[in-house]
Amino acid sequence: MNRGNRDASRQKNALRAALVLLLLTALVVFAGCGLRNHNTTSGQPGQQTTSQPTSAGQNTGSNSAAQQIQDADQQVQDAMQSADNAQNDANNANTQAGQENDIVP
Amino acid sequence: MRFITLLHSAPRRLIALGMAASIALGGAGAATALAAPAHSALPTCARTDVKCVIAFGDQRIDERTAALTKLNDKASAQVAAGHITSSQASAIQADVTSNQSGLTALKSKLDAETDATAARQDVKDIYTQFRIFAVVLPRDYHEIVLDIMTNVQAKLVGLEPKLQQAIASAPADEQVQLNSLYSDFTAKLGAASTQITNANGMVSYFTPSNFDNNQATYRTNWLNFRSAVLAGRADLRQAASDLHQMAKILKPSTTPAATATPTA
Repeated sequence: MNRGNRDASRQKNALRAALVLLLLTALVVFAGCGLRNHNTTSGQPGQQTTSQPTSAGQNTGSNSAAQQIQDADQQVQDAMQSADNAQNDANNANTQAGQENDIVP
Repeated sequence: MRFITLLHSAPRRLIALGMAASIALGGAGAATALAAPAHSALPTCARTDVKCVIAFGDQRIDERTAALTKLNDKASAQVAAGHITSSQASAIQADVTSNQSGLTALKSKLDAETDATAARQDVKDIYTQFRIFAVVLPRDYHEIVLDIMTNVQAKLVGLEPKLQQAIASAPADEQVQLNSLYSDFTAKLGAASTQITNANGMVSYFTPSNFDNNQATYRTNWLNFRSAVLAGRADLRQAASDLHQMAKILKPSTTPAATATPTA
């Protein structure tokens, strides 16, 4: 009977040890995943970004008034191109005004 | 060579006939080029053929509905590109919806007609009540241009303090050129502003009823409106060019500054 109790106790201990090991493994795996997610962008799977700052020169440039002028210049050139395209559409509409010929069969 | 020999051997009358035919054909070609493209082969309906009149009218309505849908898409594309605001586009899109609804109602009326005279009146209404090709589309497409110009003008005016600041911080040898460009930039923005205000003030005049009431006055106003839009766009283009040249000089880099002057 005593021997039987000892065997049962050993089995319980082994089971506990296995459970603890399993929990530890799971913890390590989850922690690893968490760290990886922290370093990747949400919209680009597989593409990693770091939270480290970019080079000092880039930061200075993007914050300067000159850089803002460059950006505005690009936007204005794009908008003027768009205005040209819209003007072409307007010219075509002007040409097609002749379709308003009031013809009744 | 063979053709020339043939010409020499042909009787003079035949040659004259050929030349007359060529002139006649050439004249017909020019007439076709001047005519409206959609109606090169106009159907003629018998006096009481109501179905024929309905089919003709339906076709004219479909052309207009499709053209309005295209305008709507163009306005949406400009919003998507960030060149006009949703509010600016909504004015054009409301006009599209209103005209398309009116045309749909007229189509239902036309399709239900049993009398050819009534059907012909409905066809007339397609032109006189809506004036899609004569008034709505030219006006609304120009409004898109004006909206883009208004936004570019505001953006450029908003940039003035930054430009002044950047010019003040620029090396002394660049400041003369930069100040010259900046001076032209502000002058052209002022001129563009005047033209945009003038053009915007005229838009509400261009209606189907004004078109029908006095076509001569309408055409004069239309030409003035178009001139204002074109002149304003030219002014803005020059201001944008000045900005581009200033941006090149002010570029934060080690390369030497470009030698640019206003081209106005």
